Amino acid sequence: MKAGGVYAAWLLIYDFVVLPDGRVDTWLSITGVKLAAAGLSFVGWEIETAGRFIACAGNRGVEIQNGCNGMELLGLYAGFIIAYSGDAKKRLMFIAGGIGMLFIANVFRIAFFALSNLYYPQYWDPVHHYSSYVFFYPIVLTLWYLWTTVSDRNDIFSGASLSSA
Amino acid sequence: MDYRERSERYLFWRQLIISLIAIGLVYILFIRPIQSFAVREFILPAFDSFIKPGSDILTAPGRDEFFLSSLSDSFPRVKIDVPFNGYFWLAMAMVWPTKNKRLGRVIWIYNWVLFLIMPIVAISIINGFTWLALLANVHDKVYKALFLILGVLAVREADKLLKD
Repeated sequence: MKAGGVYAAWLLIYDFVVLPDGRVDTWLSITGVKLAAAGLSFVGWEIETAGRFIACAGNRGVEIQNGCNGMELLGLYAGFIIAYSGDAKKRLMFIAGGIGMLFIANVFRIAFFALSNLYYPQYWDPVHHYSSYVFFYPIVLTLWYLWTTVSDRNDIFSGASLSSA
Repeated sequence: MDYRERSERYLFWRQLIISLIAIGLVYILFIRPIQSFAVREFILPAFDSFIKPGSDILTAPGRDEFFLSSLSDSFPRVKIDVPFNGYFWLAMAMVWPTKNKRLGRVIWIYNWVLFLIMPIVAISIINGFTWLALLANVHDKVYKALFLILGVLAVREADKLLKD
């Protein structure tokens, strides 16, 4: 319930402050596009970008809109880490590390969009819809699980456990 | 960690991965197309019939959901999901291998409650209770997160039991 509360608070802040302001989302979208383009160019594809648009040269482009760049998911991820008991320092590390991993996953997702538009443009809808399940949720669920194991280990070695032993 | 414990944990994790893949495929290939068809052919027309001529409310079909919006932007666009959607199946794909009946039951009951409440919420918004729109939008995202959390906690509990 606490995790749900933290996530609900984040959603309200996101919907009413962060998203209308647009700066963080815009940065996230444009940086994601730039990094995805750099990665694809590095491995040999010819990529064109313009702001938040990315395309394989001569093909239909993909626009990474605000609200569709994984930003909302960061709150979902952090909500559980904040709500589940554990060491504060490790919690911060988990939040920062997880957000970093989700950001990188988003770069791969954008690159995947550009390539799927080149090779399988007819499957755009399912590719777009299911991309979160493939790129984000495995990371979120695995890190949540790892956090429960790390924080339980802390409980075992905590002072309370030792004094009651 | 002895051999039996290791093999039981191995079997559990293998079951979990098979469950996620199998239920994912069944959902994508069968359940979701049926839900999309139901939304398009039955559910949306049924809700459309509640909208009075000249009303400010617009409905639009989604994939396995539909949207309510206001012509005059008097409330934010609301997503009305069909219960037992992808998040239910994802959570259950994690809960089933753990055989955790308690958490499984919570997810089932929550969905049955949604099955009753969501039509009432949608009809209320159509009838002018537009303050429900914000509540419905926040709830739409939060309950999905709760399902995922329950799934992860079920997995954690089962793995811990096998380990201890």
